[in-house]
Amino acid sequence: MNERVLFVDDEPQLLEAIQRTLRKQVDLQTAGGGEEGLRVLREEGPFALVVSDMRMPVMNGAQFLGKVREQAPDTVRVILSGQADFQATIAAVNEGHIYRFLSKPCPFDQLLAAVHDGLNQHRLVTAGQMLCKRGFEVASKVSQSPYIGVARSITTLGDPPHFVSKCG
Amino acid sequence: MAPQQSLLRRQLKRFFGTAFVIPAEWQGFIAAVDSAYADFEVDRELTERSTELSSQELLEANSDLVKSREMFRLMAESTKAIPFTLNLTRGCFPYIGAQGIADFGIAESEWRVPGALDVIFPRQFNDEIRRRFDECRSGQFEFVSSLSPRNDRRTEVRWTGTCEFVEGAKYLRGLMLDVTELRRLGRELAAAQKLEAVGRLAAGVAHEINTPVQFVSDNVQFVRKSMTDIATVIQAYRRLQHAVQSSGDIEGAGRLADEAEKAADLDYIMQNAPLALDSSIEGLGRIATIVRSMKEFAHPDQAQKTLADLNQAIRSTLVIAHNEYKYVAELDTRFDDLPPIECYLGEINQVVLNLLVNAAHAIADVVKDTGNRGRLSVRTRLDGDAIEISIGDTGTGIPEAARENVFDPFFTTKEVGRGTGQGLAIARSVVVNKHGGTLRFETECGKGTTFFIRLPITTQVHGTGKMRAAA
Repeated sequence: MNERVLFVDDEPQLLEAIQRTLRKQVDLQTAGGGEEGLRVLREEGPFALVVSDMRMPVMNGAQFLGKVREQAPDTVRVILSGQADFQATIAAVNEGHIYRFLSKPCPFDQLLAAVHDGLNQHRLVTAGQMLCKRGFEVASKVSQSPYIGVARSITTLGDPPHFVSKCG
Repeated sequence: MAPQQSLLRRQLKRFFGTAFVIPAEWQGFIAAVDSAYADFEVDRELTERSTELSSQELLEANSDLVKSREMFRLMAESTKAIPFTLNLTRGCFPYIGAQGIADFGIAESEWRVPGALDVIFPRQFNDEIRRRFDECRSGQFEFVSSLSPRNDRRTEVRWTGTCEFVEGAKYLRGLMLDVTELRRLGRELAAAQKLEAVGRLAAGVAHEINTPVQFVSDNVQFVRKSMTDIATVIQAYRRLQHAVQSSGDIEGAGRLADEAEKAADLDYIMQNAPLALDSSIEGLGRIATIVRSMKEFAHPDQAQKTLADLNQAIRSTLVIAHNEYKYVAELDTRFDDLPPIECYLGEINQVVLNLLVNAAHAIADVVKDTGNRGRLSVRTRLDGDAIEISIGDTGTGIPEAARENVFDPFFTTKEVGRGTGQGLAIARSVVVNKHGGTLRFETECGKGTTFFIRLPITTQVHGTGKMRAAA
C-alpha cells in the first residue's frame, strides 16, 4: 500500500530537519515549493499525503493544495503553517480541501500523529474505493447473470452500475 | 394762494401802514417776488425732506454697521481661536479678543500697555514663541509653539496671520488657537498607527520566527533520539571491549556491535548530527536577530532626542519587514558611513518601516503571482550637513492624480485593511516637524517610486537651548 509522504516548504533547512526526524517512521520526499511539489507529484507519485507550508513564493499553500487535489484527488492534504492568519486558514480549507491545519512550531509528537492520521485517512479513502470497486465487480457479475431479469422484476433495485458509480 | 406768497404784501402794509393801497402797477412785481418765494419754498422743502431722509438712512446704515461690527466681533470672539493684534515694536496688544482676555485672565487694559508682551509671555518661559515672533518677516505666518503665559499651565498654540510694518512698527495680526488637545489626539493617532503597523508585521514576524523554531526543534529532536541510538551502539562496543579483555566471545560481540550500528543507522547519524546542530545554531541566530530587531525597532518613545546609528536602525527595520518584501523583491542596500545623528529613533524607525511596507506593496502589485521579483533599494548617504535615506521600489508608481494627496492624513489608495492612510502623513510630520528635515519623492508610473528622507545633522529644531547658543 502506498504510504509515501511529500513535504513542501520554501525553507530547505526545515525540510532537512523533518527528513531527519521522520526518516524512520515515514517514507518521505520533499520539495522546495509549489511548482516543484506538483512536478514531484506528477513524476514520482502517487503520494498518500502532502504536507505543505502556507506562505511560499509564487504559489501559496492553499493554491498548491488546490492543484494537488485536481492532480491527485486521493492524496490527503495537510497544511503546516507558520502564520496563524485567519484569512489564510479559511482559504486553505476552502481552496485546498485540507484534512488538517497545523501551525508552526508543531511539536514532533503532534506532527507525527497528524502524519499517521493523514495516512489512515488515505487508507480509508483508498479502502473505500477498493470496496466500491469490488462491489462494482460483483454487481457486474450479478447483472450479467441470466437470473437478473427475474430479480429486477421483483425488486425495486436500480441498475447496479449506476448504484455503484456513486462510490467512485 | 400759499401764505408765504403774501409775504411781500404784508411787509409793505407793515411799512406803509394798513391804510396803504398797493398801486396796481406793483402787482406784477409782487407776483414775481411771490412766485420766486414759492419756488424757493418748494426747493427748501425738498432739500429739507431729502436731508431728513438721508440722515435717517445714515442712521439706519450706521445701525447696520454697528450690528455687522457686533456680529463680526461676536463671530471672532465666540470661537476658540483668539483674534489679536500685536505691536511687536512696542511689545503690546492693541487688540485681543474677549475670549483671550477671559482665557488668560488678564484685563484688557493690561494687554495694551507698552511692554505687556514681556509681562504676559515672559521670554524666559516662552523662548520658542518669542523667537518665532522676532523671526517673522512681512507676509503670512503660521507656526505651532508651546506657550506658557506667566509660567502657568503649558499649552500648545497654533499662530496664524499676517505680519506687516506700519509706519516703522512691526505688527502681527491673526489668530491664536489652543491645539493642545488636537496635538494630543495627533500623538494618539500616531501611536495607534504604530501599533497597527506592528500588528500587521506581527503575522510576518511570527512566520519568520516560527519556521526556524520548527526546524531547530526538529533537529534537536533528531539529535536527542540519535543520542539514545548511539548509546545502544556504545553499549554494544563496550561489550565487545569487555569480550576482548576477558577473552570472551569476541566474534559474537563483534557481530552484535555490527548489528547495533546498523540498527542505529550510525553512519547517517554521524553525518547528520553535526549538520542538524549547525542548522540549529543558524536557526537560533536567525531568531535572535529577529527578536533583537523587534526590540530595536520598538525603541521606546523618548521625550528627548538621542544619538543614534541610522544604518543599524535601518538594518533592524529591514529584518522585521523581511516577510513583507522577501517574496516580491530583491533587497539592494548601500549604507555609507554616517555620523551618529540626534533623533527620535523610534519615530524614524516607524517612518522607514512605513516606506518599506509601501514599497513592498507597490512591488507586489506589479509582480503579483508571476514569481518575478522587483527591486527594493535602500540607501543612506551623507550629503553636506544632512543625512539622506532613500527607499526606492520598482512598483506601480504613484498615479498623477494621487501625487498631491499622498501626504494627506486618511488619504489611501489601498483597499480596506491594507492601510488607513496615516503612514505618509505621520512620516512627514515626523521628518519635517520633529526633525526639521524634508520628505519628498520621485515617481514614474510603471517604473517605481523613490522616497527621500533628509535629516539635518545639526538639528535645528526650536527649543533646544544648545542650538540657540550656537546660532
